[in-house]
Amino acid sequence: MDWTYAQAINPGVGKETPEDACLVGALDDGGLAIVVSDGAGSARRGGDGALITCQTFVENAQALLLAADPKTEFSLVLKETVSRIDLAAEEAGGQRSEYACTLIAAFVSAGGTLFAQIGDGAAVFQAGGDFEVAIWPEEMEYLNVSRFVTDPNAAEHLKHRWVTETVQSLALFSDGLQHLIIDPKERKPHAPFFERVFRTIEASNLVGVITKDSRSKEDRIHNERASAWLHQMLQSEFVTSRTDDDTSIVIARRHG
Amino acid sequence: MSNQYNVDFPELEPLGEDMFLNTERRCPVLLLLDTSGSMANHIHLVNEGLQLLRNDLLGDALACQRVEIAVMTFGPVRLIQDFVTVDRWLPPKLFASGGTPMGAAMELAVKQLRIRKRAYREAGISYYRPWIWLVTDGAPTDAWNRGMDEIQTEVRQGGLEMFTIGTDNADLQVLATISNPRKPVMLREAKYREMFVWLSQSLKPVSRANPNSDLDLPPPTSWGEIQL
Repeated sequence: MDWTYAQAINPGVGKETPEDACLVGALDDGGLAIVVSDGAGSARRGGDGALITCQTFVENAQALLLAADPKTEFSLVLKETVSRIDLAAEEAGGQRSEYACTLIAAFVSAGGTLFAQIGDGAAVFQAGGDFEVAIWPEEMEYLNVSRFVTDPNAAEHLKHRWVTETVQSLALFSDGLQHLIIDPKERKPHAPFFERVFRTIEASNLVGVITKDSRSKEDRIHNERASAWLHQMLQSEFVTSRTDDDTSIVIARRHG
Repeated sequence: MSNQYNVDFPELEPLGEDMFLNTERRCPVLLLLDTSGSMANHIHLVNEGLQLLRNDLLGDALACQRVEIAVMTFGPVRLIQDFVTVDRWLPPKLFASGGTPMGAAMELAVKQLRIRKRAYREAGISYYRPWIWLVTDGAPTDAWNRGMDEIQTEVRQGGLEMFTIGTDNADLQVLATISNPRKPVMLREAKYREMFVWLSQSLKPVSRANPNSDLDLPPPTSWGEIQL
């Protein structure tokens, strides 16, 4: 496996459970699927919507990577996500809109990296040069407005991008952290954050934490030390004094 | 899912202030207050209410950095205080005199909000949907259709939370047209103090709301009645 990843979620102030979700899938050919989803604050079951969204997109990673026409394939996976949400809503006696959540995704294969997004939050990558925002979150004028996976016209607002250069570093995060680490004026990632985060995952790789063979493929590439560090970071006053929102982040680093 | 990991990481990078941007968010609130002659008996209550609004918001660290207050009066139309964060706001002492030029006041209010939003954008500051809080005890004494149209256009485009509060001889039909689809509230027994405390309490959660959340306001039962 070429990658190591770490992740952390921290519920917003005064909340026991977060509405953010993240999921990482290790793909057969050494590739990787990372999905982060932010359940809408106004939606009763946004957290459940976020989990379903993460699962559905990770499960469909290979199909998305192999698709000749990613846009169409994304629409299909989006449809599947919404039907799973509808099923959950039916069982819970709820409405689809109660599961409103965003999508931030990255799928890595030998051929390149495919990014996708609905709503706010962002993915940042590095492929040799500077850190770059994969897809700029759709301009929404007001803070209390976003696009969601459950919107009737979500497929129209799903943006995707292929990066064919070899991506070395990836970070995906929801909007709670976005405002702290993406400079809206410069429209650039805040480099000091990403430099330190990736130095950390690298340093903890060197110490070597990974691998008990009985574990799943995902567990074997999970760097727990870096995850613990990310947790500490999200719970630190640096972050909690700047946002009351849920914060979540997944970082991944290619070896060698 | 706040996992606890049983590992130390002394050799890993320390956290630092430089890792994070100072995110600025603003929640602009424009108080559009009737100071026509008929308000003379109550204007001291409005002034007290403004002090209460400030003091109550000051007790909330995030709200007082995020909520920005502007004060406009009509009778005559005047921008008394341009937008300023609560920690830097000194409430004015208002006096009552003249007519009720509500139409011109609404036009100027929408214009001030547009100017403010442009300033936010240029400074890279994110902002919540603005509020206009209109309080009047009478009916407009000028042509008010254009002002109402401008407000309603903003409301329909999702660019404004419009509140209207009537007292005494307020024309509730006019207020309902202005704040549509939100219903006007009739102030009970000159409870201006309670009204401004309610405004403060309602702004606190909004100023820290997760992006994407709708307004979820408590009923104004302590000070008024929603006019259905």
